[in-house]
Amino acid sequence: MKSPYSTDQKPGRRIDMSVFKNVLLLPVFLVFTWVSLSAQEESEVVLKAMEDELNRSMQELSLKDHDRPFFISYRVFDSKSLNINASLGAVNNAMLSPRRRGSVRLIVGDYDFNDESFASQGMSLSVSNQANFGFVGVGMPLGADYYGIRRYFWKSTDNMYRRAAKRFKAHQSKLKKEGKKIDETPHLVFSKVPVVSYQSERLDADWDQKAIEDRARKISAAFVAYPDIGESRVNLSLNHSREYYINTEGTRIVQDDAGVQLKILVFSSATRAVFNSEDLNYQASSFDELPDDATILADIEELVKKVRKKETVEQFEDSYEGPVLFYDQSVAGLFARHFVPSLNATQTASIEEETGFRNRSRELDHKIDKRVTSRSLSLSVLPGRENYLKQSMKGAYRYDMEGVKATDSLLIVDKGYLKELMRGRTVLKDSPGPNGTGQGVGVLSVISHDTKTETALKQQLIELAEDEGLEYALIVRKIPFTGGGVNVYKISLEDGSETLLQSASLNDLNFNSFRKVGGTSTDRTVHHLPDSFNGKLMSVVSPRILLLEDVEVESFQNYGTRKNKKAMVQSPLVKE
Amino acid sequence: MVSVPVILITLSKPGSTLDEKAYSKKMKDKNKKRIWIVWAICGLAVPFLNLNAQDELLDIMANELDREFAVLAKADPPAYYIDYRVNDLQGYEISSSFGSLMSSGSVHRRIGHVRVKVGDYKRDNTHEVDMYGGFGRVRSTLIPLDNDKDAVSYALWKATDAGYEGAVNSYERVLEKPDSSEVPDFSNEQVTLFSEQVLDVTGMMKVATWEKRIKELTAPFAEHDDITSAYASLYFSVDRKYFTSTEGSRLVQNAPGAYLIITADIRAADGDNIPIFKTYFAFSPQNLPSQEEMLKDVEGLIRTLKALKEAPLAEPYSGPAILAPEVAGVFFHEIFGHRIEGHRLRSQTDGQTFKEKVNQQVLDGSLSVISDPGLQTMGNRDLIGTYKYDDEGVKGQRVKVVDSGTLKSFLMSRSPLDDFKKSNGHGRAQAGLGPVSRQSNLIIETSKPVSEEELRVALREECKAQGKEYGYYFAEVTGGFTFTDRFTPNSFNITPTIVYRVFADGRPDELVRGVDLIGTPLAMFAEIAAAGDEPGTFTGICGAESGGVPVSATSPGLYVRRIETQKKMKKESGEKPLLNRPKAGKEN
Repeated sequence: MKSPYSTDQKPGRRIDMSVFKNVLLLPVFLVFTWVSLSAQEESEVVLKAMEDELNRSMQELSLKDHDRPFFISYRVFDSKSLNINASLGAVNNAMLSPRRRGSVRLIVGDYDFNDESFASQGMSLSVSNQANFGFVGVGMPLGADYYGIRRYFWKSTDNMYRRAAKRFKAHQSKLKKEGKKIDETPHLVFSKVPVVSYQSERLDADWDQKAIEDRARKISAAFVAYPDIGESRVNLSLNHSREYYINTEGTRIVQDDAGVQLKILVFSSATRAVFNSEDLNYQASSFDELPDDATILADIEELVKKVRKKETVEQFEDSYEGPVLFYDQSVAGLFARHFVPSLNATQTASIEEETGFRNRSRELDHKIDKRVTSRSLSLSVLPGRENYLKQSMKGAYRYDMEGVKATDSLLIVDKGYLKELMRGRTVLKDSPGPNGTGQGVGVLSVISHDTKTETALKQQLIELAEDEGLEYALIVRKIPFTGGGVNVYKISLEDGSETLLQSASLNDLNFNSFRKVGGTSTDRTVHHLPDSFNGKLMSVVSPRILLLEDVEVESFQNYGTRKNKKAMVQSPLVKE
Repeated sequence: MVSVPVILITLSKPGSTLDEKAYSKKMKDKNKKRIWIVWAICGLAVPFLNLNAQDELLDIMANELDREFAVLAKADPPAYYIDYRVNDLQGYEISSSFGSLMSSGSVHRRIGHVRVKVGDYKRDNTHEVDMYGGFGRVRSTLIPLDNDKDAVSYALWKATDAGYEGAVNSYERVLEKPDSSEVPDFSNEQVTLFSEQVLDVTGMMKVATWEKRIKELTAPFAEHDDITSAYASLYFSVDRKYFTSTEGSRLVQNAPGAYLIITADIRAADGDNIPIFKTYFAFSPQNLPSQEEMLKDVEGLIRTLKALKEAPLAEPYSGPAILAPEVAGVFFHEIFGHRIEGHRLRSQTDGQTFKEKVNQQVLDGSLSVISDPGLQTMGNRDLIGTYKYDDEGVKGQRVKVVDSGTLKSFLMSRSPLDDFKKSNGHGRAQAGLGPVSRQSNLIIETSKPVSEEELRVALREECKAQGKEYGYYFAEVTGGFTFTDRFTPNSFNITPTIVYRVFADGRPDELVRGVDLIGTPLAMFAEIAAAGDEPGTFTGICGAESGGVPVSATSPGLYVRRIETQKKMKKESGEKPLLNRPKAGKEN
């Protein structure tokens, strides 16, 4: 892999000299200090600033010949993270970074007809994380800075109001010009929801950085004993966040969240192949809840065995279309990547109204009560379930991004038939209102109505492959977090023996891929995976084994999969 | 200036008659002994120093370099030179806006660079082929913050392996297209040993004090609703630079710098957003101007912003002008300084404005141009372009580039030219990139200084001669840029912030806005007619092939018979907010 700092320069074209503003553009990674005021006092100041500016904006904002706002919400997201990268017993960097972001939502009109009525949901719900749309800036300050926080919301709200007021006026003019009434036109409405007042338990964010760095050193030092394998990286990250949400309806929410993630990544060659990797991933609610050293070191030993085994493994260099048996993390990964992204209601009628263009390729809105998966599958989202099947659900949340209480259970697919989609407060006129899923899936439960033993599933895999006229079948046990090639096991149709191959690529998977399911195992496993929708975790409870009948697998062609080239000089880890 | 004790020993390398491989081996053996002597002297001379554990890093680097070179020097094709460079960057950044603290944090990271050369000094893998050259090519990698031998060596090993492979690939292209050039690709230089004490970066930076000060510097702007943005930031860092090469050089030096910038914008009636800047530099935060002085400057900035708000927009113009000293410094940096950077003159793609003009008159006979990286202060100001050794381990030397109008030399890295076979210590790079020849502290001197009033008299007379109602006085500038290659017009653009019309009939000067100073270099040199008697220094970060490097340019004011201006790009400030800005002491 090319180093991010490597350079192949050509003689320059443009040469600049400027004052120090350029210094600010240098790629520096800052480790921030944490403000000294107590968390309680700071929270009070933040909320007071939000409330005072919210009240002033609601009472005083007015633009001549335009409607005034009828709804405003403010959000402050305070986060603090400690991110440590280590390798071979040394810390490469340690970054403590508090960050504060803010956002504003402002609606002009009323619940039934407003500036968002003809916009797509994705567009209308976008909130201003920057105060500087078209303006020079007012950013969000650190600490208990009452006036600084108010300035951020003042400028952001002004910006949002002007756009919303003008947009609503344009909507009104459009209807008038076309001689239509709003009730005769498909449009989005803003749902009324109960007012909420909620303060979560305060979570601790006082970390012993030295102890955490020492742990990262200790874990990463394990790889010094394995000079024959490739580069190893240990990443230990601790996160704490406090989220404030208030709106003009009276809702006040303050929620804390915390988590720890330990990632261990090893590349399979000591020289230059980069995409053939193996990883370990641990999540916990706090640093102390991570597995002990002995467990992690034992896992590393197993990881090293896998990596060594891969050194002699051939690449997958075929084109395959047929049944594939997925195991463990790869099953959860399939649902997270290829099913979950389609579960948000997209309010397409209003998109069509706004743009005259309707793209149904990635939406499920028009498939309610139609079959979307195999009849053997039922799927529910349970974002409000902090514990499920006696396990902690790390993706769960209490209230969503609009202050709506998360649902304990929402049946999305019932025996193959789509029953519901996830909805926030902005919905099509006459549609049901929000269903407590406005911050993403949180927890996904996949239930199978066609369970079999592992042996039976493997036999079925072989039979399906034979029926397709294939020469072999495939098993996938893990889909790497880092992207790149997937390891596959080639299954002999004659005796069921397995041969590991690396660098395969799973092509064209989407929610339609779940229509042909050959069966699943009885047992279910829990995996916590990144949710690209909200940057948080998603917990997936799914069968441990899943047989998909129609999957395309091809060779993964990439720079990183080329044959390894031996280094000219022996690794310094090899001791004479 | 931060005062630090140093030990300096320079070893002279014998002539190039020695076989390079034999020389390298000999030097390695010799240097082991010499390095030991250096450290021994260090310990005796300054026993209280207790050199920081960070310096273990240099030993780890040198050991890994020896181990690599022992193999790669015998490989096919052999590496004839390798150097390792590590920038250990430790710093702080604090920023504020309208009196609010926006950020306060620190950074510590290490970036390693490996430069592998294959072939020999005369012809190696960096030779330009088909207009594609390898100037400054390095492999870079993050280096652990811990001085852990295994981890640091491993990172360097990986980068060296990739660096050697890249060098071999380039060298094969060079061999495929031989040319007749007799100019070597890499110069022979003295071997240097140098070590500087570790600075107490944490102790030099009083974070709480500076958080308060930086907040105070932007608070006054909050009182003015037409001022749309106001930022102040302090960035203090020490870049501790490690260098070791297979020729035997071993260096550790510090590059400290405290940069403070204040910026603000005001909204004009026509929606134009007008910026203003003020910058300060010192080698340590405590050497920056006092808070009182900077707050007085803030008051001045606000007054100037208010005046700029009411100032008329200027139209494109051609005619006489005076460049204030700092503006003249930027002017020389752009139109002259970049054209005397030696490595450009090797490239077939460069305009090579001055390549064939050595010993010819290129400027007015009263003007001389010097580059002096060793100069630490000018008047009472620390110079940002200061360093002891460049990023190729060569001592930074004072170079008289132009002597009484006659071109004498260029700024040289280790990429030689026909008549300039040696580096003069101007090979520089930002962390993460490879070095090429760059400017340092550029100084323009005149043997015929005149007062500013005399410059104004000359300008007014020239206005009358050219039939112009007014000329321009460029008072302050944010920076500029230029093009030196053959693919684009060799023009420059200077971006002033404060510009006045100076009327031929003696009326008071008039502040204007929206002006950029443009032109082409040779035409502009011919129009420089006089220089002032008060030098001023511009301090900035210069960006080019090898990244952003700190530079200064000191010049007297200049009177130029004819300049050209163009309209500055208009920056919309948006509409005035509907509600008043929330601020302390106001009911809102």
